Amino acid sequence: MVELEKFGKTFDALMEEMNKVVIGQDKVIKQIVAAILSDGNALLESYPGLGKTLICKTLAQAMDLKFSRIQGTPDLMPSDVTGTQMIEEVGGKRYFKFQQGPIFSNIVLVDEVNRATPKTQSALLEAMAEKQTTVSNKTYEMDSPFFILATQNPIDQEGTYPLPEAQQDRFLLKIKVDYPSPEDELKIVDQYAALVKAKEVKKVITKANLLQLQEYARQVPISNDLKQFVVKLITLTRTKKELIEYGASPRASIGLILAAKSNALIEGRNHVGEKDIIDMAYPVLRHRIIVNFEAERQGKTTDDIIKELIEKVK
Amino acid sequence: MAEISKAIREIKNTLRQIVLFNTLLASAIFFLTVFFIANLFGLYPEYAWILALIYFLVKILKRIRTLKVAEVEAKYPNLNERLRTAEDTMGQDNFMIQRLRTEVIDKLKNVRVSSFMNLKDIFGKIVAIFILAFLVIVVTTYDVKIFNISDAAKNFDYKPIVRADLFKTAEKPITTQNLTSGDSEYQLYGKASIAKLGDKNIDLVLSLRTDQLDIRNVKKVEEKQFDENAVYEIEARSDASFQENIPKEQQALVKDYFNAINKR
Repeated sequence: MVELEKFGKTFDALMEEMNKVVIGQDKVIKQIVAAILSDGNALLESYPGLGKTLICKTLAQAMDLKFSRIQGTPDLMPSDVTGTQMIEEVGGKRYFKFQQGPIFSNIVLVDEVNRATPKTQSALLEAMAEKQTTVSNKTYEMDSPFFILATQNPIDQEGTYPLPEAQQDRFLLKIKVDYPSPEDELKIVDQYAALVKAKEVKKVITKANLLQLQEYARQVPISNDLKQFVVKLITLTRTKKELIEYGASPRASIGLILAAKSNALIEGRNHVGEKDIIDMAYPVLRHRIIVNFEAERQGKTTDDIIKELIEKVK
Repeated sequence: MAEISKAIREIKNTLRQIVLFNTLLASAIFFLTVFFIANLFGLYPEYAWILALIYFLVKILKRIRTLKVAEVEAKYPNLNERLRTAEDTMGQDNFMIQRLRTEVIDKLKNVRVSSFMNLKDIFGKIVAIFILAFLVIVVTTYDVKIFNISDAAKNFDYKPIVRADLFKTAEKPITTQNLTSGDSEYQLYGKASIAKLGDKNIDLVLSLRTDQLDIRNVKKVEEKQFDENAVYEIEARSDASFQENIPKEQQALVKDYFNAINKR
């Protein structure tokens, strides 16, 4: 059984191991871990070359989890993702055997999900939502924990199939990966331009511990006034018609509270604080709000609008 | 759970006691101030306690309704958000909540009741009570008054709101002078040309009712002694605000009556 009082230190140890390989993306790593603890999935929006695959792979190593990667391309078929029935011959007899696809993993990185066809996207989304997949009328369940990290490139939108808002809503968080600072980039250059062999990452959390931590994350208590704060914030996204075309659904309220609880646990606290909610409001809401023309005309991003809403509710 | 429940209940009771104490002091100051001002202006100081009671009730109800454990958190930042969360999750139980409760109970041991009492404020209020009490004693002993409102109200010369001339009905108001003027138009017995008594003796028999009258039974005038404590004469004066609307022909009758009495 994991000792909770040491979880804060465990997370510090995890960051320390991650920083051996991934430099300058602490905030992204923290949000990905929060999504994992909340048993949700995350959508990563970043430009190419910012270490998305490296983050997921290193995280899987540090958490002793199975990792797989799916590259989104226009010719990617659902069976390429979920798996297919293969004919196998044993002792002269032939029979169908289900060959699991890359989705049967603990951490699945779907690179450029917007390049895959809607049919393939829906196969992924089924696995995300229900933690199972159906092939040839047979249902196969995913292993626990199961976490999909889908990525989108904000540029290069030609020939892509952007995820509809209703599908984006199924992702708990939308994490923005920014460019590293010049100091961090210098460290990256020093490390990777000279490095011959990849650094070894030690196992910090076991699979069993992670499942237990997911349970603890849901148990973190939250006060009534903070719950009301969350509900007011989400309701305001639906009523502030001056800048928002469509607001967030009650799924966002549930997601924000879960993410805040996970954030509190990562910081080693036994309760949810206002800061947890404010920190998590941005990744939870930025893909759930559709801004209108007036907001675009004023040059306001979704993050700017979320900031205004938080100030109003405070 | 029992332990955290007891701890939170104790905190709230302590806070309520402090609120009660502070409100009592404030009400005492209010009472003494109202009493002092009422005495200075000749109002009814004995009713100051009613105002003070209303003040006390309003203040204490308002204060108790807004009383929250957040006040403890404000004084003790290490309890910030924790105490409220522990209170709100009193009905729930799981591993994380138990850990929170243990943490809160541990931190509550450092909470002191004295930290919620503003000693300067209390001292100031007590001094104010002493000063006001002294002023009240001085004012009541020496009957000091800046302005006596109640006396002024008693002596106020009331002028009627309604105009007096609205009730003026006769061209000639009925006054004592007019009744004795001897104007032939206002003869009590009417016109002499109509009434003729003649030479005959008339025997008048009045029907017996409550009293008997014999006009032949004339007695000498007897001197009567009146008491010294006679009732004062009731002086009837005509008044401009007299409200009777007597017709003109009847006014003449009344006037003639008084003229006739005077002539006799």
